[in-house]
Amino acid sequence: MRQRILNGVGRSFLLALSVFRLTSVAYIGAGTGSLIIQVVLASMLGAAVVTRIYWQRIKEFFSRNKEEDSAHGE
Amino acid sequence: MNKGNGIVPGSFRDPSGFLFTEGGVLYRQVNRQYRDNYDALVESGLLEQLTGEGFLVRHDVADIPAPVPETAYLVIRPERVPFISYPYEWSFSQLKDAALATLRVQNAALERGLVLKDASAYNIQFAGGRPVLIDTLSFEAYEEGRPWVAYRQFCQHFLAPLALAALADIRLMQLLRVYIDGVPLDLAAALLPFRSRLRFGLLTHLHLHARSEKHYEVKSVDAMEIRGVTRNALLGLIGSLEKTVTKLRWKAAGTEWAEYYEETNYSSDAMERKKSLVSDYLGRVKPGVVWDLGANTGVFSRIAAEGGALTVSMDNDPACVERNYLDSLECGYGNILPLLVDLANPSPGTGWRNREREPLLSRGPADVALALALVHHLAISNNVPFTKLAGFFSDLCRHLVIEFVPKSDSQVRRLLLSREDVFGEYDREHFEAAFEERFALEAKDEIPGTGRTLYLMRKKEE
Repeated sequence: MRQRILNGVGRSFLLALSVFRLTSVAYIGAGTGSLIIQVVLASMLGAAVVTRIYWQRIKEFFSRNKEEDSAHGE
Repeated sequence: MNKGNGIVPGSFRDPSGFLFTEGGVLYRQVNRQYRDNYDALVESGLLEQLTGEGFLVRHDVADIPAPVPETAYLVIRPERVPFISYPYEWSFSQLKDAALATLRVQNAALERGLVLKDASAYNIQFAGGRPVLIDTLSFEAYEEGRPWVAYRQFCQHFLAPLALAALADIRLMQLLRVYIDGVPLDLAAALLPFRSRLRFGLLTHLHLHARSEKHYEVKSVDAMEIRGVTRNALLGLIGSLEKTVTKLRWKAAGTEWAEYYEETNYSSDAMERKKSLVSDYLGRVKPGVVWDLGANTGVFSRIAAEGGALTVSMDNDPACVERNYLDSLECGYGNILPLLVDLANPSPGTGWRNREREPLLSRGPADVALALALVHHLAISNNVPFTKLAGFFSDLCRHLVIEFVPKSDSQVRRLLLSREDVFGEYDREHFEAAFEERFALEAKDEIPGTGRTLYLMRKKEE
């Protein structure tokens, strides 16, 4: 079951993400399994980074509004 | 360290260029195929930033003919690192700091549109007490979407041995000596305790990583086609590795010698006398490089370092080396390099043709070797006869500061408690006779109240 999930995840990433070929030379072997788990992990972790960035912006937006409100109030 | 002329034996894997020496000076040929990446490193400002921050070794462009002109773009002269050491000779925190420096460089590179194309622990050296990337050709232009090609190498060279040391056993860091491209992830996963799976970073970057490698081992997938790691995703991955490494900790305590100075029966007067004698002997020789053999936590290394010598401070106890490194950092002794070395089995030549990584003895000789409270360990615990000891020391130094510890000493008695005394010739007369064959005596002093004797010797010309 776990094998099938890994297969499915890997294949869908490969299909969705094979966009263009490498132009630079990689002289060390990256390893297929290693690259695939990296794509999966990086997507998850990247989503967290983006969420954090937007969350920060939302917080800043509201705290700015609050500051402006209190400035108007004075 | 290669001191003659020719290509440095360990420099052949990366087609971007290679190291060579000429007239005792170290150079690096940059090949034409690396031209765009080298120019990007300079023009992006990354070179200036990283050398300024001390993360990358400085270099000048050298005006000498390239050794292989048909492939050459230019020749550079990197600043030479004072002593080359290898990851299997580092303490836990040295490897951890080297890992964090690598990730810091990777982040800085990404900010300027480049990326590290390798993450080998052998590309990091310690200079001025800090980890420095020595391979100027480790960068390449970042392509949006492309995964980090050095991710596996980073996990094998840094994350796996650090996790094994922190969660299983510190001695497993020595696997780096066997596996030149880092600890295989399936081996690390098999050796790590179950609780390692409860940490997100270790579960993903080691356990799932190892499983994925195994799963795709025999699948025919064109790895070079794999895309999909956006810049933010890559930053997330690096951030996660950084957090995982930072959380790994190992406490240097409980091993044999880390408490030595607290437990030893040396009186403070005798200790002060020994320190002043060592300082006096070093003052006579004025060494540039000192090897402190069996340095423990580095008390005497500091005397050498205060005199201005680059002091390689070796011990075979990981706890001592760890404390030595952390204390040296805290007290600002940038010229002490603590290393994990077993003198009864020093680092061999490893890798391709046994020449990629140099044996310890090829990295000498030192101007002075300190062998304080050491001889009885080698002679009694390791059964090395005095004549062989004298030969060993004459291979690695020009001057020798050596302490003879008699059988009546409590430390020697302790060693003899658990074994038969087969050391009939272990006395001062035999010691002096054996060393006189290789060394000329320059000074000899008793350390009052200890029964021990300190000698300053100069190697005889052969």
